[in-house]
Amino acid sequence: MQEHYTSLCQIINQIHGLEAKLSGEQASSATERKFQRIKKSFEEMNLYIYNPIGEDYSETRLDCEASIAGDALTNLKITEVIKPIISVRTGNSNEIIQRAVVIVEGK
Amino acid sequence: MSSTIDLGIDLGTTNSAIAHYQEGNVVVFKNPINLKETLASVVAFKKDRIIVGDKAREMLQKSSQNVFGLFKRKMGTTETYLKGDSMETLTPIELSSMVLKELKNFNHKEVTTDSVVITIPSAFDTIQSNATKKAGYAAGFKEVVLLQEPIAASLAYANKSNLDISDGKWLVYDLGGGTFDVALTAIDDGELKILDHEGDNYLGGTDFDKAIIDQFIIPELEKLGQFDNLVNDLKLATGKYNRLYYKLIFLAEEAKKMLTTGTVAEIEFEITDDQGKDLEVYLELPRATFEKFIAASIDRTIELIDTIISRNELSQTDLKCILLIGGSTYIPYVREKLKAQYGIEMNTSLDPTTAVVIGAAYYAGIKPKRIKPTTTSTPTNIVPSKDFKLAYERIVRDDSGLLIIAAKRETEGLQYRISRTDGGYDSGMVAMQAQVTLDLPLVANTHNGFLLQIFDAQANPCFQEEIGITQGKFSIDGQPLPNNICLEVDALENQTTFLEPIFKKNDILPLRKVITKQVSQTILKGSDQEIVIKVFEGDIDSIPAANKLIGMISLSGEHLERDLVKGSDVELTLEITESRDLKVAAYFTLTDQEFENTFSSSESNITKVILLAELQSFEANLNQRIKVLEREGNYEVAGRAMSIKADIESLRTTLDAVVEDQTSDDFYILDVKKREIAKQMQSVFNTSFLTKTIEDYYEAKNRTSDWLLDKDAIEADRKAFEDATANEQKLLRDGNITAIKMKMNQLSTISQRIARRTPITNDDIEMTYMMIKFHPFVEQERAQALIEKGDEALISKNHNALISVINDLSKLKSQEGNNDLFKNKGTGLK
Repeated sequence: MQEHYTSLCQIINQIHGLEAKLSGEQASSATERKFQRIKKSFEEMNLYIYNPIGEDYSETRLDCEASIAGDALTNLKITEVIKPIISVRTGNSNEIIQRAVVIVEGK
Repeated sequence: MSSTIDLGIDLGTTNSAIAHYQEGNVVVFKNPINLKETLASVVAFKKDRIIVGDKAREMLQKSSQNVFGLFKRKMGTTETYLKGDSMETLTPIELSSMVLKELKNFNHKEVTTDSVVITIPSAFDTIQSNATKKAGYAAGFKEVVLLQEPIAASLAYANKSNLDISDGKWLVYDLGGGTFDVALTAIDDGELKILDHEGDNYLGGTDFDKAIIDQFIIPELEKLGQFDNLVNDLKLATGKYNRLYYKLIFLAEEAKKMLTTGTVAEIEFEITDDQGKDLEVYLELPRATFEKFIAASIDRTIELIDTIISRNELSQTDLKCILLIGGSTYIPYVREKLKAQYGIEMNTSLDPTTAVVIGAAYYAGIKPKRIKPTTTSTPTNIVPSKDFKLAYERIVRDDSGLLIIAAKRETEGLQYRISRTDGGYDSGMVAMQAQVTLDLPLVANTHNGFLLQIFDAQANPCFQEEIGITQGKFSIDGQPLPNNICLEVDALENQTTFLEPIFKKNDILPLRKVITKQVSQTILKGSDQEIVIKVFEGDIDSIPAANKLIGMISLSGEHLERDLVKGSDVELTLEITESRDLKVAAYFTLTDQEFENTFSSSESNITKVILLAELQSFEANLNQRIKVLEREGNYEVAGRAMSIKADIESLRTTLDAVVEDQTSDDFYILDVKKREIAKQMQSVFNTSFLTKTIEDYYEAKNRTSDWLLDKDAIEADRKAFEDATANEQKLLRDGNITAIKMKMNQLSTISQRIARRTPITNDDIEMTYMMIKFHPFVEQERAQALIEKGDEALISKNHNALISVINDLSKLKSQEGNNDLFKNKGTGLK
């Protein structure tokens, strides 16, 4: 299953990198909209992309592979997402096929 | 039950794995949580929680107090590890047993786990070996057999890649993430033995990643920007670039992987230098440069090999081959360097990260068990379910769900673990209490499956239960949608419109959907051409006019900032709130304009102009229809149509009397009457025209089927035909004339496509002309003149002129026979 989606995951990672580069104060609503449309198209292929930026992090979170920057080991927050979470959803089944690669830091 | 051990474990310094032998095959068990074949040999303690594997490794660089790795190096020593937040000490044996217990959980095939083969480095002495055995027993195994790692790797190659190990000597070269080992291996007196070994506990792949950062990225950065103390700012936890440092570790590892297949790796990131200048860094790392960074380390491994060769008084020709294991042997330079140095075969046919565990399982597959099999593994001593009571809500709207586990028995020594079946959450092993309260994280808008397991002191599962919690989607107080919500779009082929479902009846409110449609006709800036977005509530299979219009946005060329070209995208966002307000937003990608409107369910959007236009359209269509019916002698249907026409006229009279700014309720009542009339029209004419439409459909299908027999038909045509007729039974049973006609158009397109490839004979041209000349025409005089020209061309056998006449006559063909009841100017959307 995972091998089948390898190329698509690579494309999604590139799109994620592009989105991260173009986001922020300079981002136009048209650009953001285009990214949403791309994600929507992937959802039509049952591939769901999730960016956990800003969310809390603890060791029970298996949907992310984290590197901990700074001193803190508790009360952590995701401050950078290098790769997003990608899951395949069919009916009632949800399977994560790519864990996010994230940097976390103390809040 | 098998009489051999069958189960093998590679208890590694940095990573471990478990595999099972069955009927000649070995399967490496995957971690059920993240589906990886290896488990990081790291153990962390956090309050009452024990975490083993990748999550513990994440914490390893940050805390030496509660996170322990590389303890394999201390096996057999008296060294102990102090847990930071307590006075409890842990031995390397205890930590290793925790890794082994975790590996037991990978066993999804419910194979017995009484006996196991565990691999050890060739350098392990008797005390270290016994310590490994003890760890095995502490993990609940009743029989532990040890096997040296190089022997395991040799067995894996012998079984999986046809390596001939019947004689000779060979080297097993093991370059992992953090350690290097090399062993001289041979068959001695018919037995596979390690003759000699060497190693370096501080040489491996992570050193190569760091070399990329230290020797390449940092010097390049210093050239690109101004940094006062870059190294400290990156590496110290308090440094301002510490976050970037961890990203660089990731990027360096990715670059290293890229260079196993490519000759150049790209490294891209952003940084702001000490002068506040933003740098977009793009670096290209050539493979040759990377090789310079690691050359000294690889030379060190060669030194160790040479030590073995000279100590055993061997020449290079005495060595049969070198078997490569450990992830870092993927690096091409390692392979090339060894080959250049020793000029002997390099066997790389196995996955170097799992070769040892595969060999361990092969050995386990031939090693008889000494103990009597007693139990099966999963679950072993299941306790009655009444011993544990679970309480949780099955449907929740929060982003987490509460689970309470109440134990009705003694919990001393028990541990629980709960994991989400999509692999996104794992509690780790946690000491069981009389009552446990957990907040389980949920994935939004879907069903979340969890598996709760409770383990006894030997890490055998004694209770398990699957838990399902649905988040968001089916709110207990959410209201179901009473009717379908549809969008009206154009069926350009027959100048009608049809309804496309957006939300289905019984979907739970609130709802939101984004769809992309195309503009079906070019709308010039400033013109009065329109695009109309109409949202209806009602029956998908009926015509739009028979349904309730609940929202409409009408846009003309005057609203546009530039021309809207046919085929460009319109992104529509439709939202319905719990109170059933409808919000429609249309975004035109070409003009980068957005229009939106919110329609309250208590407000009608009907205006006098819209209603009048619709009634006029109904009347015009009815008049045309009645004419055809009377000509065909179908007076019964014509009579019913006349009656409907009278109703329309009456409604128009009422509507004419209503003043323009009348309250919307009055228009609403009139709209209900209009919809009733539309339904009547559909009912009367559907019955009358459905049979004819189905006949036309079969004719189109048979004609296309005949064309498929033509020599110029291709496979794509046959496939298109199969697709077009796939749901024929349902299509005809539903009786939606518009849908049937669209299908007929698809079939006609296929036959026209084949026809275009087929050369036309003169007989075909003459036959076509004879058929068309007797057809009714809209401009009779012009048609007659063309027919005279055609007759002349027929007599003189001027076939080119005849084709021209046929084309002109086709344009004048009367559309009287067209059965489209609700032909209209369309919405501008397709």
